[in-house]
Amino acid sequence: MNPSRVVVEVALLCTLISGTLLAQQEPPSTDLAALDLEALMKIEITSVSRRPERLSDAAASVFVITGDEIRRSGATNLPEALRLAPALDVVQVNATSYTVSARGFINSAANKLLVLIDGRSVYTPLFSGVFWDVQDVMLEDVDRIEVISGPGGTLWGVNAVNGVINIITRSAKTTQGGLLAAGGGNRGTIAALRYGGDHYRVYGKYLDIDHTETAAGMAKDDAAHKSMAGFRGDWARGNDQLTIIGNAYRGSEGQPPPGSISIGGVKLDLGVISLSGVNLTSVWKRRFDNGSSITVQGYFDRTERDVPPTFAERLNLFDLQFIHSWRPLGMHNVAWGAEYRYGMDRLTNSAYVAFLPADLNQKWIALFAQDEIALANHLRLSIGARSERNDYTGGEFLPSARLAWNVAPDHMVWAAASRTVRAPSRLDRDTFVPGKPPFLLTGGPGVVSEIANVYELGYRGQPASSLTLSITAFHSLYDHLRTQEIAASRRSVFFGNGMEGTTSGVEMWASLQATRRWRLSGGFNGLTERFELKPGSNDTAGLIAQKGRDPRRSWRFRSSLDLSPQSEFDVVARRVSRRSSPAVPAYSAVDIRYGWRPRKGLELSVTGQNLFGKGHGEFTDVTTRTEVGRGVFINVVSRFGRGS
Amino acid sequence: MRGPVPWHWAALLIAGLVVPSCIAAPAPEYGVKAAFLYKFATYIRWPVSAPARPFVIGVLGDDPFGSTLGEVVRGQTVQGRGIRIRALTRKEEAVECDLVFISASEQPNVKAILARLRSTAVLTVSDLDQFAEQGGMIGLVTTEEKHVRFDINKAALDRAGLRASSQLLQLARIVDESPGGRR
Repeated sequence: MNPSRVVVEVALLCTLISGTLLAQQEPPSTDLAALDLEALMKIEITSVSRRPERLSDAAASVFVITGDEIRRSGATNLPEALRLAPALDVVQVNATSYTVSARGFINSAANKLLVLIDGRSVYTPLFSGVFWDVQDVMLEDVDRIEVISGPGGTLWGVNAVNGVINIITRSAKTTQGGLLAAGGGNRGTIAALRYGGDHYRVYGKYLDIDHTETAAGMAKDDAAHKSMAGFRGDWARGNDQLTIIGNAYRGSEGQPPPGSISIGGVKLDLGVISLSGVNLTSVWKRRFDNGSSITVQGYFDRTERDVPPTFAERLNLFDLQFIHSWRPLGMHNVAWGAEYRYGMDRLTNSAYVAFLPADLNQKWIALFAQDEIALANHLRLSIGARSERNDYTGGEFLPSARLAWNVAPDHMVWAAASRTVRAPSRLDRDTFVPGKPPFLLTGGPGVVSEIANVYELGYRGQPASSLTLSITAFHSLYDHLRTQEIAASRRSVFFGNGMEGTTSGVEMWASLQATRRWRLSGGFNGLTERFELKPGSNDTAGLIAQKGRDPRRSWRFRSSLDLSPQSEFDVVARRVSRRSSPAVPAYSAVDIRYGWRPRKGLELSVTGQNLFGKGHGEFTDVTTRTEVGRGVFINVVSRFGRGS
Repeated sequence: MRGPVPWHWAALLIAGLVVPSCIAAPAPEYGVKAAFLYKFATYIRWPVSAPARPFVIGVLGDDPFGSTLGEVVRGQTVQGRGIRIRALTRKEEAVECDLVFISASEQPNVKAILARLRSTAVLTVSDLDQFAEQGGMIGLVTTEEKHVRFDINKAALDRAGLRASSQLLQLARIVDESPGGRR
């Protein structure tokens, strides 16, 4: 027999086996038993179903973005990753500025969504919203992002009016070894390096973001660069778990017109924004043998933002939380806790705008309790309330009741009623224009909390083994919404609470595991809003603006296909209906990513964004907003050392 | 003889491209974890062996394995004993098993379960976070690259009189147990 013939036949046999593998998609389980331990440890696993999280039992509209989904989406920053959550409205304004909202109320200073990164709240008390340009993590180290649409005030406090976004990074023991990620495209370049051991990891990241253009083709002054570094340590001993996380960043970004703060009729000489921050979070958790646990979390967060020529801010925040969960009786599952937050805000005012007083120390104190009661075998009632105290409005009360009924093992129907509150921020109360009297805008000394009463009805389940489905309908009643009122003298304006409104809508998503290697998912949001001015309010411009900000409908579609064990192909498409103020036409966007692993520990990918059709704008006025056009990003991720 | 040669080359080329997948094909998470359960049973020696009775693997809580655990152990033996799988709903039933996998659905009860099984010759395995640190014997850990590794709590094994082979210990990450766990 010819030896070369033998080689060919062996090779052919292997090809045939591989072909069978591709057809069957996986090795039979019996083969796994034949592998030795070391071989088993080298097998890469695939999870078909979402992890069996307790979240699946939660009587709320919860969507989980897994770290793997972020990787496969080709997202290069947090807001882009959040586009994976069907319930969120994510819009890009500049190269680095985004606005994120749920259930309406999108705004340049969107203020009804709470965002936490590893338990640290990143909303700013300046406008009770999020500066997305400085919220960054090493995306490769994100374990998951939990997106809860709807009120979360009882557990999370004021600001969790329309939703909570929980960004959770991986524990140190799952990120061992080195990782080097480098990518670039027509929107910028990113390089990141991480190294981890049993109980720690350290990382550094650098971003250089290119400027964008308006629809008219004018270059925008929004190029940015930023560097950040940080660490995480995790230690566990018996009943105790300790986590310490620290991050620091520094960067600068251009400030395109109309600027961070725009003042009607005034042309500002906009300068480069400089940004920096440092934060340290520590969490200690003790579990007891009877199933109860105590968690103590503290963090310090310092942020600096210089926005020439309008303002500069130095903010130090301290936060301490305590949560005790226990089961006093078989049918009860109680969690209660307290939170203390202290902010030291130092503003540098300008001739154009002033926050008065410039220096303000504020404290927030909260007490909360929630009891989940197993009423019957498949029926759970959860009632809770939070009492929170702030310096502006005093005490606020945030109660909620949630009922979950497991009609069948894989089908849950739930209902909830909640009262939730957005307490005034410095922007609502302390803003004066210009920087010196006589003022045209005289703050909002009388601004009280915005209030929402929210009713929700939902279904979540698995109608077939390969299909998961979630549908939520909501009806929210808002009162005391912020308005800008004209003073009786007609020489100045001030902030008030002259608007009320209702929003109704539906959020739904489904995921189908078509074959072992092909998953299809889709989502739809429908929203109907009605707003009215209350007697005494004259903010008709504000009313018109509020009525047209949000799209009535949005759709999302995603296909994740494993072409082979080494290559994957993903398509994400979304369509967002029009907004009328400022006018943004309806648009569709399609992103495609191809990922390839030529060898173990090395991954190459190319992502094309907005591949079809012409570009689109997403938010703010057409003369200044970024026209989001075609984008290409090539990324290389190399893993080395202990973890690989 | 010119004819067949290019064909051979083509076959080799295709094989070269596809062969690595023979080895690296990903497998479903709980298929791999089921195989680990079986492997642990073969790498650990129990203090008393009862050859008359089958080796019992219990799954406590919501069963994540589906049919895969049954497929993995079909026709296999542990020290000459056949293997039987039991679905468990109460921790008291776990005492009657040789190996118990504690499902993620039992997270709130894990301390009570471990307390009940303390010092019994039942090997406890789970993929719950920090399982071995909390007093469990073997914790399955999924790494960032989606490989399954395992933690061994040697103190808990010793207490139960279970002896792990040196090969198993070499591949494991050995974790400490706090004084709290020994109370």
